Amino acid sequence: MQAGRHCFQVLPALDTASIYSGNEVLSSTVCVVDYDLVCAAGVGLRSLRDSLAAQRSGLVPNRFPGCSLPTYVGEVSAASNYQWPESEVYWTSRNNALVELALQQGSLLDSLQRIRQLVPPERIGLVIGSSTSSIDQAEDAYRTVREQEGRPHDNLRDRVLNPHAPTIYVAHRTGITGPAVTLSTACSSSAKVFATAARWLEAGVVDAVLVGGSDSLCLTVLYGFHSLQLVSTDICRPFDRSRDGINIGEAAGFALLVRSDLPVEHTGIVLSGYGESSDAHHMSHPHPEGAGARRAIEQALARAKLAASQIDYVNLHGTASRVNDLTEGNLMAQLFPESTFMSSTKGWTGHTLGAAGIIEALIAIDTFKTGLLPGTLNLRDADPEIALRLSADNAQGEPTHVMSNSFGFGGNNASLIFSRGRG
Amino acid sequence: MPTQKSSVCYVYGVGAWGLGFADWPQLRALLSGAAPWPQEPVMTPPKSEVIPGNERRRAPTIVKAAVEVAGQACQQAGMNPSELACVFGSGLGDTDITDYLCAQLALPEKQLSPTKFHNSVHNAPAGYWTISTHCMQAANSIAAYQHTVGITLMEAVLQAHQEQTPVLLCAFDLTARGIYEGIYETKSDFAAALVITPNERDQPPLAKLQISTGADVVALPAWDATFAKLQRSNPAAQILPLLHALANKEKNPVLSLSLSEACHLKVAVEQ
Repeated sequence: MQAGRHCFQVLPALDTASIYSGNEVLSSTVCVVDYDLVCAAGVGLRSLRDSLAAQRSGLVPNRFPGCSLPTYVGEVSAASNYQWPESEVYWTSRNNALVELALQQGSLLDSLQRIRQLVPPERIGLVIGSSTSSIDQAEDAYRTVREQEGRPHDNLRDRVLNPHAPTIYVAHRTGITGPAVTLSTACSSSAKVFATAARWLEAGVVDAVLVGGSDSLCLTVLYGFHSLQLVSTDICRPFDRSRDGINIGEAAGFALLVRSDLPVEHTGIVLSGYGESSDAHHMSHPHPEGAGARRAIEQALARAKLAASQIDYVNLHGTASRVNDLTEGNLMAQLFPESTFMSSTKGWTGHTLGAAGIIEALIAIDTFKTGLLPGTLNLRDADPEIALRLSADNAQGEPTHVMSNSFGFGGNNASLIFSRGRG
Repeated sequence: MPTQKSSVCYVYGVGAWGLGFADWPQLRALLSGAAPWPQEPVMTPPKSEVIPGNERRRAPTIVKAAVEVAGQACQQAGMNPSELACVFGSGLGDTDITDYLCAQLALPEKQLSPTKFHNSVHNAPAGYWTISTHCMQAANSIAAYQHTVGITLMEAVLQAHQEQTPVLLCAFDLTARGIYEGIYETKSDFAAALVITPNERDQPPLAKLQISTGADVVALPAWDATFAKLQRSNPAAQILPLLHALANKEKNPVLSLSLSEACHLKVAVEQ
């Protein structure tokens, strides 16, 4: 294993000063007030914690309506069964159902209410990542039009059949009226929400931001990734020698962020660094040496003023595609010491695409609370081509600094670092 | 509670493309009244020469439109695209490709072209741009429906200011296709780009912008009906009042762009 690490081509060290010539650190600390989520491995954090501890995957053989592909999916059955109240029927979409379910978890809405007592609604921002948005409703409309032989569809809703739909729905649902944006950079979408939120808080254009992400199972992504030959017929096995592709999952998650000067009780968890970069290589293949990913990771470390050795846990992008895991695994082995515990949690959730950034950031920061470092579920036989020592087994620890990586189509990379006990 | 800090940036380049104008000099002439609005406006396909030939053939029109205006703005600014962070904003996304995907998925075979699928991501323009220009900087891709221009400009200015980096920002929306024709009023194509910097460079800027947020809307002067109609119907064309101010070298106009239903970006222009 160790020998394999040295076989990998060593890249020249990047001059981090040339990457990041701005303010040394965020002058305002960005604190996490609350967070929660839904994904295939748990509706709510409590349920996800149980699944992580028990190594219980949320992936199931695909029975998604209208899709006959032999694969596993990370389906949230509560989204399939979600019944919209009559007054809210306008908002019907699978993605909005996931958003609604996530907002209902834990104390998220109560925490938002606490912020609302201090801050007017126009001073709260919304930054949400999504790549699918409510495209299931467009798929449905086209099917209906076809079945009705071209008669126009009578249920076209501009605020739902819209790339901005999840954010419009959250604004409607919560009464937040401040600046609101949907970031859509494929699989890095809801990692980048933290960087944008940090900028908005730092500039003082808002006093709090609800960040989040949501992506839902739909025919577009199932058949789309299938057309690229990226979908496994088996359960996904990140970093395994036999891995042969991804399982598509769905999820939604949120985190409520404030500047440290806002007098509100928070978790003690802060966003200590972020990095954003482009591969400048290919629309759907990562840079072979992970040059863009490396840039994002080094930028995040420089901003957090941390050395790689100070990161206690990394939640890897780890999709279980042949090329992502090879590139990411070898890059991480180069940048981090063996003592850094790393894992991909996609064996529990599937690849939740535009929601992966927030879900995995939340899994990473939840290790501060639980001390449970999830393993790389479904990994049986480590790929000898990948110079990273990973295990399927969970571990216990007391992390202080954690990182989460997200890489998307278009060569769009984001890396986040969170720390506890700062702020 | 800290008050909002002022965020300032300098405009060094502009790009534009749409029905009746192929570049910023042509749109500037129309906006300033130096040229009359053509009786039968012509749509010139975006050249988007920045994209290498093979890739250009595979690139969707929305990508070519965005890359075209981005290239124009960088050229005018005299800056290397690989040094610019970029923020791409589109209110509707690529409805042409969504139309293709959903129509295919309504057929029993459900066969999708892999190229069209990877081109369908909202960040396809950002992807093609960064690949074509060897740009490894941060690239963002934004959707905010009617508020896309305000949000894109705010994100770009804050990024320029806080990360101390020049930023390319692009806004683009094309004619709605397929079922989206029945949802959105967008009946014509529009794309525009700005190159902004956090500090003045050696040469004088085209304009200085100072942004702040709030609830008050600045009333716009009445202006040409053709542009007013375009502005109403195309999310990206919300940038027209700013381009109008630049084209007419108005002394110190203050504009407002929406950020949400209740919140606006105030843009004070100095030139």
